[in-house]
Amino acid sequence: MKGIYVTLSLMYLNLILIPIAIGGKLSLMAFLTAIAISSYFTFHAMAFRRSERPRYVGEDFLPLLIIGVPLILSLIISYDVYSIFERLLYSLLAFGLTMITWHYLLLVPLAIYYRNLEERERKQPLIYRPLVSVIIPARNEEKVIGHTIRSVLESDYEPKEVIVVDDASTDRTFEVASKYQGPRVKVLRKEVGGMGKARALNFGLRFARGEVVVFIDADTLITREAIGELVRKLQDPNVSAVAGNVMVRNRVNLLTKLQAVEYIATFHLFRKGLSVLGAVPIISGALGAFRRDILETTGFYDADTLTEDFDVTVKALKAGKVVQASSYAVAFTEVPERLRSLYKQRLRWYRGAFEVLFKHKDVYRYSSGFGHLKALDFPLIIMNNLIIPFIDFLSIISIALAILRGLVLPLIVQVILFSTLQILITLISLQIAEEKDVSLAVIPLFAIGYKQFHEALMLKCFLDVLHARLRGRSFGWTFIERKGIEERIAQEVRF
Amino acid sequence: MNGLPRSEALRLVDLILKGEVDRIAPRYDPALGYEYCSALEELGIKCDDAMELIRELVEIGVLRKEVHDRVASCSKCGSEVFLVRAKCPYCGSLDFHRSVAIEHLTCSYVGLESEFLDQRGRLSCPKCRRELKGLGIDSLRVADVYRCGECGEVFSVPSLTHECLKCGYENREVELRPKEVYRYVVVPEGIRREDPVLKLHDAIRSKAHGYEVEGPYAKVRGSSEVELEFSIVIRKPGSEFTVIEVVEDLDRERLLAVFAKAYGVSARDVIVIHRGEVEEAVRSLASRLGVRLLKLGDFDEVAEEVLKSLGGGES
Repeated sequence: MKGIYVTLSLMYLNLILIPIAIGGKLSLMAFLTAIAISSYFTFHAMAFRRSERPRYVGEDFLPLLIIGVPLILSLIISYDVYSIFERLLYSLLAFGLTMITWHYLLLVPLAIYYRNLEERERKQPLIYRPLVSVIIPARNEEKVIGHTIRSVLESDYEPKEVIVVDDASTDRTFEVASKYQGPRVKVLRKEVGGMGKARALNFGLRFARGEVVVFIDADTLITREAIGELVRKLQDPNVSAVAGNVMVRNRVNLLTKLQAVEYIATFHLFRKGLSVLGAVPIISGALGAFRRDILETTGFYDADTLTEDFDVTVKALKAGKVVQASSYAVAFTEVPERLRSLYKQRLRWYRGAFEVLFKHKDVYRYSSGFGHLKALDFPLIIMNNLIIPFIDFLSIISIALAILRGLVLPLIVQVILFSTLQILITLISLQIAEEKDVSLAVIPLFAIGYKQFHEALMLKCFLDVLHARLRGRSFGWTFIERKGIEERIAQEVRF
Repeated sequence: MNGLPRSEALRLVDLILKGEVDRIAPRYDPALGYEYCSALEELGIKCDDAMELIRELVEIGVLRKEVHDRVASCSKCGSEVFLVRAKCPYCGSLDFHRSVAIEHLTCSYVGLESEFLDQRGRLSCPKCRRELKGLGIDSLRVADVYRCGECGEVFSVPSLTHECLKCGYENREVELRPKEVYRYVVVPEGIRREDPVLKLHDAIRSKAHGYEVEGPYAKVRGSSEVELEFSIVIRKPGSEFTVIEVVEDLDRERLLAVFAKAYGVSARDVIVIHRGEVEEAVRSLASRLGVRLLKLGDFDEVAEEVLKSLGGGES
């Protein structure tokens, strides 16, 4: 614990040093605005801890305030910059600095707070023991499905039933899974499939009897206590859905080691921080739990986006439900081992994320009343997936300008400070997660290189989705009714 | 070859030696499983205990067994004749019925057909309330699902039990044992190794310079235009020839039969080579008939004797 606070102090120090090193009114304004925004959210986090349908102060204008105010302030303060291009560039960079600063000022302390909260919660006995239906959708997973089923059966939680949905596999998935068929394992075969995981999940849900439904990917292994830990969160009647703690299983090369760091430093930190508010926006398909009634009332899974897990969580949040993450419900998943596979996976994720943001555009409506989702979740996702990548892109231009003007030393100082900040955040995330198996040597590469690869991909995906939307198309599994089933097409629009 | 009547065993061996049978493959009888009798009977061999003969031929290397099929067999008695029964995989009940799972493609809702049936008797989606235009248009039959009437469980594939029709034991799928079913293939080298006619034929041929050695199992057209078969036929230049018959045991009937055959083809000399002992009376009869008898021993020695006897010697 002491180590966490030491790293946290260093992170604060780093955040303070950044405006000092940059100097000027703009950076000071960015820093102060960030403190104001993070304080605002921290106050609400404490006030709305795990409450359904919270109402933020000034919620209806909030997205505009978070994004608009820092940007306008930057433009005003930079009035004395002669060139319009540079004025715009520096204003946007200051705006980016505000975003990054408040983002970490809010999430890192909240994640630490949640870690301590979970430690206390874990000491409470598990009294609530509903029937849990564990649904494992599988398509051509003959090599792994047996291991996954065994890992679920070995779970210490009872009562449970396992439902394996074979999504019209063309390999021996059904045959392998059928070996486990018995009183506790149902193996159901979808004869027509391959039209998206959402449809396979809905098929499994139709036959699930449990009050709680746990979803596990077919290539994911769970720890013995994972299901029990998910249910532990649901002991709180306010909590309706829980995200599992997904770790990387195959840390076999640099790429998978980088992903292992990414899972902890990005996804886990994000989920833990937002768990304090009960506003986790994505329950990964690799491991997550829902109360079945939530899924029923929100219409189960939709197959119209590429990221059905994000979509279904957003629907639960829109219904005003509390969604948390459990650090102790651990699952180990296999991540892409080659850059090409990672690229394809992330294309799907990022495109899917933007599709969900477009699909649920009603969240941004004035007086939509979607609480966390409108005030915090969507702004954070937009910030992480669009604004920060864009600002990082702009920062490259600013670096080029600095070099041209011979400002090499200040530039080196700034690059060091931003890199150190990223390294410290990664380090603190690992400390919060009590993760010791991650190679620290990859952290600098994660901060410089890996992150930029993803940011470039995010920008590409945003443009892809925007382009597709303008053409009235979608990347999800869509169905064109007028032409019949032959037109069931995965709208993998190629650009 | 004690179990099989001697004549049937010899007939089978005879067919193998003549090359008329190159394999004995089992046939599947729905009532009995795999069996060899029908294949043998088709060859005109009565099948009382065919397996015993086949086993012996395998032992001496005339037949080689190859895997013909690998079948599931009863864990109790080894039979492969079953009555396959479909049951609920959870409780073993026979009381289950099939339902059709339908997916509404436009909203991705999945449910059983009955859920889509509204009060007006039309199909409409319980999730989005839209009326279904029809299977294959905006909805799809995605699976057949069975529901057990006793335990209420659902499943995609019933479990199968295999009741053995021989012993009545109801095998679960995991209990079934794999069993190999063989076919028996004739080994030409094995015949050559074991057949005395072949060996003798080879031995005579290697030594009989100036003779034409026909056989093994040479056919000679008789005066009645019927072709008669002899183990070996040795022709001298010109038209004269000697017939040789190799037999296991020689009795009076067999001797007369050989003599009659030789007479029928107008052979100049008749030699009978026997493995077993010959009674004195038979030996004397042979002498009177002009049939030369030789005892089968070392093939080279017998060959030399045969060639010597062509000049007028006697065993």
